Amino acid sequence: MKYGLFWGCLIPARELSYEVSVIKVMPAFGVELVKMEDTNCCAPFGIQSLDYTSWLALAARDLCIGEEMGVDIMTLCNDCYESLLMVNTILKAHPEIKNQVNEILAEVGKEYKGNIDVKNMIDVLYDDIGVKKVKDAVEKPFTGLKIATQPGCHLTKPKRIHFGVREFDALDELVMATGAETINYERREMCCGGPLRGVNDELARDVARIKLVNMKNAGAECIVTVCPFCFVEFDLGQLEIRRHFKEEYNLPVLHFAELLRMAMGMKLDDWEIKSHRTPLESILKGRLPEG
Amino acid sequence: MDRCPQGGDVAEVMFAIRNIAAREKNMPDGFAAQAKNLIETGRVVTSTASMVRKREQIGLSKEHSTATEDVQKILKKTGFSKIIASK
Repeated sequence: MKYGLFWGCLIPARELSYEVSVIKVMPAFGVELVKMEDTNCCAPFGIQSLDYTSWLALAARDLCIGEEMGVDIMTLCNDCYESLLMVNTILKAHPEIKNQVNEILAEVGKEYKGNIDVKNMIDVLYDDIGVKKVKDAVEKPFTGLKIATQPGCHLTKPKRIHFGVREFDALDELVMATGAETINYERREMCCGGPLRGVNDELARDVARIKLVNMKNAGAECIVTVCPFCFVEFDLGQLEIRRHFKEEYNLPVLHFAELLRMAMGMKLDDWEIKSHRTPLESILKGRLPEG
Repeated sequence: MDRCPQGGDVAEVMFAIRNIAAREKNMPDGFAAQAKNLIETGRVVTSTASMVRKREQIGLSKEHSTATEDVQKILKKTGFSKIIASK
């Protein structure tokens, strides 16, 4: 199995533990991740909100790089997934839009052909590798840990291209494969509030708070996310909520790749543990780095 | 489409409305900042100097590509810069 790995902006810039965890975990399942050279920003929803054509063209340029490499693309970030998957879907379905985009791409010597697919890491683990193989790779299960999953909006919507709520189930099944329990909480499908940042920060904070209240009330001990924006909303967000509302939720937040990495017997390094703004120690019994 | 009884794509309508608003110079400051970053650096989010050092320290590549020149050519062709210009 070989994929062009599309890192996006946020993970390499802010969430290095996610990057390191993916590098350590995926090869163990026979997945070859090939570096995509010379990629550009996927033009996430903020850019899409300003100019649709620019969004189409920028995302299409990245798709061209995958096509030139002869590989399907695997994304990690939900925004990158939404951008690349949506644009790929639109251009494959609408030749007139494809032609318009190719006129723009000619400026940079690219041509979109429409011969690759875009997947997210969860798609690859669930569909290509399978939950059983993930479970078989677990050496140090998180038995009894109650996890609230946050797949994120752009992993699952719009439903017309995401086959309904499959990805909700996919992430939960993968989390359960690590030995943990997933808990059902109120308004599980609700957004984390991240897209509101830069538009209405107070509302973004309040939306994250609703999610945290519901997770805590349902008995969650930890949150697992796929999207780096959801991660920040809940990890850093708990500090903001503590400052503003004087409320503590003490819910450590992990990227799914970090959870799987530790379940496979690896440990996070000190700097990775410290990079989480909501402390992880409550869930790291027996998993702390030596020294 | 997930909610509209006629199968209309509500999210797409929202994007269209936002695009029109942007052309009328009506956009959130946060989105304008993202756009400015994109035009100048090829990325919406860029690494800080300390993060670049950390990447090198732990053996990751210094930073990932930005293809700034191609991004700028594309955005010039689409007229994106003019949308952002006076914001």
